[in-house]
Amino acid sequence: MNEKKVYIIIIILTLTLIIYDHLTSPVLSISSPGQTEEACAPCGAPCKEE
Amino acid sequence: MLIISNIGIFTLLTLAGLFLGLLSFFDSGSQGIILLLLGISLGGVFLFFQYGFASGWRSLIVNKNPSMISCHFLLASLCCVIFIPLIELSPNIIGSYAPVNLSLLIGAFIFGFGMQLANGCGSGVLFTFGSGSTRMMVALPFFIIGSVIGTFMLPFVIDIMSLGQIIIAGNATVIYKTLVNFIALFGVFLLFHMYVRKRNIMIDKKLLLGTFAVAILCVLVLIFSGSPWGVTYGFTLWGAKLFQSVGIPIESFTFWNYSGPKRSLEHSVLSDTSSLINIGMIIGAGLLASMIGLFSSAKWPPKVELISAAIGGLLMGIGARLSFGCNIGAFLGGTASGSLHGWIWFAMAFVGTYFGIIYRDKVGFR
Repeated sequence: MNEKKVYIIIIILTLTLIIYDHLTSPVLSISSPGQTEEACAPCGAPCKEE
Repeated sequence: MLIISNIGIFTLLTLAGLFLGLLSFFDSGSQGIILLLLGISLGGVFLFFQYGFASGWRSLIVNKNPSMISCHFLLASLCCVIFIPLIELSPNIIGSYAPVNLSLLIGAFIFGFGMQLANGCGSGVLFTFGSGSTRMMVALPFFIIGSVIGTFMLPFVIDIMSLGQIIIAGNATVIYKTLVNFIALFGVFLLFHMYVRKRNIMIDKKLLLGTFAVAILCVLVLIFSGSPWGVTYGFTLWGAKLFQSVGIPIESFTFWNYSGPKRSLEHSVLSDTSSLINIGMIIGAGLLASMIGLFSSAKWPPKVELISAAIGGLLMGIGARLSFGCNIGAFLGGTASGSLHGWIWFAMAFVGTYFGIIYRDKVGFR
C-alpha cells in the first residue's frame, strides 16, 4: 500500500479518536501523573510505605 | 520563496494543529496551546538536527564515535543547571524522580535492546513517525501496546529490591546539589569529548546547535508544564484508552487506580502534558518533512526490519513502564533532576543497546 496514503489514514484516524475522546471526557486542568502526592515516579506509581 | 513538497500532508497537519490547539485552548487556556507549540517545536528541531539517541549510542559501539552521545550528556548538564534550582525553589515544579529497584534495571535493559530493533527511542519513534517513516508506523502501535502491558506488570515488581528514590546530594544546598550534578554530567561529556579529540573526530556544529535548541525547549517544557518532559506516558495513556474503548476493563487494574494515572484515564488526552507534547511533536516533524519532501522518499523496509520494529516497539513499551521512562523521561529528565535512577537507566539501557546491535547484525539490518 502507498506509504503516504497509510500515513494520511493514520493521522486522520488519530485525529478523530482524539476529538472523540476530548468531547466525551472532562478537562479540569493540564497535569502529569507524577504531580500527585503519592507519586514515587513520573508515571504516578507509588512506592511501598515503610 | 518557500516551496512545500507535499502540500496535501502540510495542509492536513496544519489544520490538525490549529484544531487541536483551539480545543486545548478553549479547555485549559494558554497552557495547552503553549505545550502543543513546544511539542511542534521539538518535532521540528529533532527532525532538522536529526537528534537521535538510538543512532548516537550505536555510533559509539559500532563506529567508536562518541560525538553524539557526548552531546546527550552536554544536553543533560545544560538542563540540570536550570532544572535543579527550579525544582528546589518552585513549589509548582517537580523533578523526574523514580525509585532505584529491580524493575528499573530490567526495564532499562529491555528498552535499550528494543530501541535498536526499532531503530529509534521514544522521541525518535515520534519524530520519525511524524516525518512519514514507514518503520515507525509499525513500531509506534506496538510501543503503545507494550506500554499498556507494562502497566499490568509494574505494580507487581515496583517494590522488589527497591531502595526508593535516591537524589544525588539530596541533603545539600541548592547550589551544591546543582554543582555536584552538573560536574558529574559535564564530566562525562568531557570524557567523551577527550575521546572524540583523540580520534580526530570533530563534533558536528549542527549537533551542538541542536543540543542547545533541545535544552532550551526542555527548560520551557519544565516551566510551562511543571514537570520534566516525558514521552512514554502519553503512549501508555493512549493505549489504555483504546483498550478501554474495546471493552477491556483497564480501570480495574492496580496501576490505573493510582491517583495520577486514574485522573488522566478519566480526563481528555488533551489534558495530559505528555500527550499534548507528543501530538505536537508528530505535527511539527510532519510539517517540516512535508516542506522538505521527506514523504516522497518514504518506502517500506524489508519484512525482517518491520517485524523487528514491531518487537522493538513492544519491548520499548514494556521497558519504559518498568523503568519509569525512556531516554527523555528517565535518562535526560532523571539525570537533569539529580535522580540516581537516570544514571542507572543509562547504564542498563546501554548494555541493552549492545545486545540489540548484536541482534541487528545477526538478522542483517541495512
